[in-house]
Amino acid sequence: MNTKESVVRLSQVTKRFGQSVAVDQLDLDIGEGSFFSLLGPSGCGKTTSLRMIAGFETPDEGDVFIRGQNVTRIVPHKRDFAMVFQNFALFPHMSVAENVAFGLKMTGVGKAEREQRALEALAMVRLPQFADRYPKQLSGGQQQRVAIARAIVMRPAVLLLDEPLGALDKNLREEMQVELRSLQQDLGIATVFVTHDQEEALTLSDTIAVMRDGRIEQSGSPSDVYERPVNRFVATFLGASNLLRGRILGTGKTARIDASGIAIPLGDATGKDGDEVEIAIRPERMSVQPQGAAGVPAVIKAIVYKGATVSLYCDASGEERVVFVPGGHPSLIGLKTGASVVLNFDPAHAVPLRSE
Amino acid sequence: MGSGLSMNRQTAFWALLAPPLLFVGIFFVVPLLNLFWVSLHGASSTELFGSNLSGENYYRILTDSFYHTIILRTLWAGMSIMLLCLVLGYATAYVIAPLPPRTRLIMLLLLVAPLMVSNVIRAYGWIAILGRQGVVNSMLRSTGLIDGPLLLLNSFEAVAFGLMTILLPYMVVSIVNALNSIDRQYIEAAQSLKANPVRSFIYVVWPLSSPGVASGTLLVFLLTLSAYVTITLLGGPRMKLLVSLVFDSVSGFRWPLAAALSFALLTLALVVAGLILALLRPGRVQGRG
Repeated sequence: MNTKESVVRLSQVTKRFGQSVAVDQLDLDIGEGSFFSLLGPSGCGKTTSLRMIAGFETPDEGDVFIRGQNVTRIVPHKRDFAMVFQNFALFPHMSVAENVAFGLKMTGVGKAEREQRALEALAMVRLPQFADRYPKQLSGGQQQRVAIARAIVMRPAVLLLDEPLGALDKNLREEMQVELRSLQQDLGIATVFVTHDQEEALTLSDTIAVMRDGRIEQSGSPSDVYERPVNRFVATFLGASNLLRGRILGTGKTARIDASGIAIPLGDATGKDGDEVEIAIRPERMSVQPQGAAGVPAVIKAIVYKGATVSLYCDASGEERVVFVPGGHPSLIGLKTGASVVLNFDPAHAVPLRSE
Repeated sequence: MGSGLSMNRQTAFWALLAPPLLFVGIFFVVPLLNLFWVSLHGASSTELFGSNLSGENYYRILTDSFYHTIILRTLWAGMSIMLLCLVLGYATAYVIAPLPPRTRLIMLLLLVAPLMVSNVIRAYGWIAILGRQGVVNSMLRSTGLIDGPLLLLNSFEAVAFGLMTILLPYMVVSIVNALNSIDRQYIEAAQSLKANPVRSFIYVVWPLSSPGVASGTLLVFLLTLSAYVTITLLGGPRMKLLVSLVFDSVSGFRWPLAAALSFALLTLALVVAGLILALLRPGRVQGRG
């Protein structure tokens, strides 16, 4: 990623609203063609960060660069970006074609060319037949596509997406995720995507930055962030995690989990002998064994059937543990609520967390 | 069950609608039709109107240049006051609309407060200010700027001035509401599509505020047409508009002519209202083009 030219860069950007700090000394670097997601709970500063790239908010400190140009003090209409808004913000008084051609009209593209390009953009989102309709006459998914067409027709340096799928229902959202991703890859357009939906972020992104309280907690590829969360916040916000307590052993290279005595490698985490450490294990990385096997003894409290997977909610000496087992898996046979089992996992899948 | 519910809905629909419909029917539509009937007769010295049907009143209005002058003056007065109110009102609304809700409310209340004074009192107030012995003239004379008094009253300007102080609040309130109902995202979307502030106003803010502009201009124009008190007191005998002629005809017991003039006024109002709506197309905000 670092080898690619940076399209958007935020350097030590801080934004305050009154007393509260919305974005706190944020550094971001978004490479050419990359799909970059800002993921976090509401109020974490992800939307404010996006709006500072667009110029709708001005940072109190720090600088924003688009293609190497410092745009911190430049008004939005002179910045090289396009945006898809949360509620699409299609102009209600303009037809679909007029909406899509609007940006080209503002940049002085001739009538014939802009009509041509608007139709091409509409074809890309598979809506060429709707050019003469008005936004109100379209379904949510169609409006979404028009909003995307209106943005990509500008061929911007960066495409900003502000929770654009939030207004759609679940099935449509999944369909649009796939479309959005393939469109973005076809066009090779750098994209910043703001979402609070972890599944969306995992599906779409090249890089995910998990934000909290105006700071990035962790950023990396979806699998990096999901498989190796650095702290408790990331481990529990992005997917579910079982959190176990452990203690670092002599050399500082391994930790022993209190409940089971299993030793796990510490990896990059460091500490000295006897330090407490929190360890995360994904529910799908845990397995259920019959009583008597090695591992943590537990009692099944609830079995939730979800089709592809089955979630087992277990009680291990007062701590809740969750195990995801593929539906129809042999280990499920004979399991009932109240059964005593043993939970186990491969130490390689245990992730020691940094204390916060 | 379903049909029972819709029956109830139907009943409720008509129960709620019937009283106002009946009221408007009895006290507006029927008298209006009656008025039209009256307008189709000649004058009579003994009755309310003559016994023979005739189109003489309308013929007179359409052919007599005196009425042409008055109709054109009425149109000109309505249009110019409407446009002045639009420009001033839009500017004011543009400043008031983005204020925090509480400040905005206070500003609007201040704006509407003068309307609590009766039009008659207000017009006499203007006479006291603009008259020969009025505040303006005596101040200008005491400073030696003028020798004789300026004739400020009994003019088109006096009427326009007096009416605008009454009508401007209607315009401002209409437009403030329209501007406030525009989602900020539309303006940001325009900016994101490289529209500078002027173009984002022309292509996005102005069309999206058209419902408020339409209701504001309609109110101002229609109220100008019927603002008899202000027109008479500030315009005097030289600044007669259609509404003054209606009154003069009524006081001269020429009821059929008064009725015909009323319909001329009504036609004028409908035509201009239609033009305003056709020009502004407030329905486009709803996406009907």
